[in-house]
Amino acid sequence: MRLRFGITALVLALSFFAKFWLLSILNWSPDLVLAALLTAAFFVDFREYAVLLLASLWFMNWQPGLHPEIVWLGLLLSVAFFAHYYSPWQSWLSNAVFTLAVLAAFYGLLDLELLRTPGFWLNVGSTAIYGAVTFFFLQQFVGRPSRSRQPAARP
Amino acid sequence: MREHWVFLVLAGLFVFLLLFFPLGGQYLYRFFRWSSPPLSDLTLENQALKARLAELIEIAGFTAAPAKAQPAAVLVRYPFNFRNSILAAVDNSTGIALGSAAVILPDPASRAAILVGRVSEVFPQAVRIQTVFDNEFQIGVRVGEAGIAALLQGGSKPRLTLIPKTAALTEKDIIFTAAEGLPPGLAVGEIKTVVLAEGGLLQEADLELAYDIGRLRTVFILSP
Repeated sequence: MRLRFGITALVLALSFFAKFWLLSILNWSPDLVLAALLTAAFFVDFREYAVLLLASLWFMNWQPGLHPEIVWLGLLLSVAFFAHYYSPWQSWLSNAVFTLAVLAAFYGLLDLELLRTPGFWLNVGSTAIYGAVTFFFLQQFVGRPSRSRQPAARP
Repeated sequence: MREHWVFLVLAGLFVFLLLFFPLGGQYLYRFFRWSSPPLSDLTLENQALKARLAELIEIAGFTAAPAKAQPAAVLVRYPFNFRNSILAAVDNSTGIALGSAAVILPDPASRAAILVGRVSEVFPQAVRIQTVFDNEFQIGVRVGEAGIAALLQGGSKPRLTLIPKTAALTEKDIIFTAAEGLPPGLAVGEIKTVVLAEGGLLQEADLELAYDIGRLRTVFILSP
């Protein structure tokens, strides 16, 4: 359990570094932290997820007090954690679908018009790719996802 | 059972930090703000002075009231896409107005300044600044010594739009503010490339900015 939490926390920390680095040089970055958190939801239990989520929200908060956007993001990511239990798809596909759903809900709340822009879809695509990479990395080092439907066993 | 308590304490710690020391992002931001200066001061100063000169040529005979510049230390930036703002710590006892200009002053002795953004939210000891890299940032500007009017449209790559087709713009022409609520003549950047807009009736231009928003340490808030 400690190894699982440690590796997932490390992936999250690397995602933070990569995001801030990209923001500092490009003024734009895929939502790497969101992708890492959504992927982590498949591999850790709720206690571990709550710690990772709260730590991430603290590092992401950008102004005094709790901005509604941060609260909304926390709620969305919490809902995504529990929604994994009811996902009808295989884990890797669920991960991509949840990435799209969370990004659409988050940016849609800021401004619905954003969802029609190419920038949003570029963001979704790049974030989903990063989520897939993270997913396979965690699967390699942590083991099979603990939730969601697994590929059917061959007869 | 012991692990259960460890996670509970950790979760409680982060809830406490979020509520009472909410700006955790500032530590990451500081880490990524390179120690080296963003560009040579000469480049910044050159742009600022070009804008001042263009303004003086255009409004010869008028003198704008000097603005008071209040230093503000940049703490953290908005971490998602499509919006671009920075939070800066500032003494707000004098009452900073919404919409005030946030600038870089390459040479505090002169009035020449480079626009970074406008104050969009005011807190007791800080202000949030909507930068020119924000998608919703829009102000009227003028270009070059001829003072050609255009609209500055913010974004990750800010652009000039609504430039008349007949306007003769060249690379390195200075862009400076000409908008309500902002001091006139603040440099924004220089023209990089000019193209015909869709429909062929107007022109658009890409900008060359003299600074990197990710490396700002201090900005100045201008009060009239």
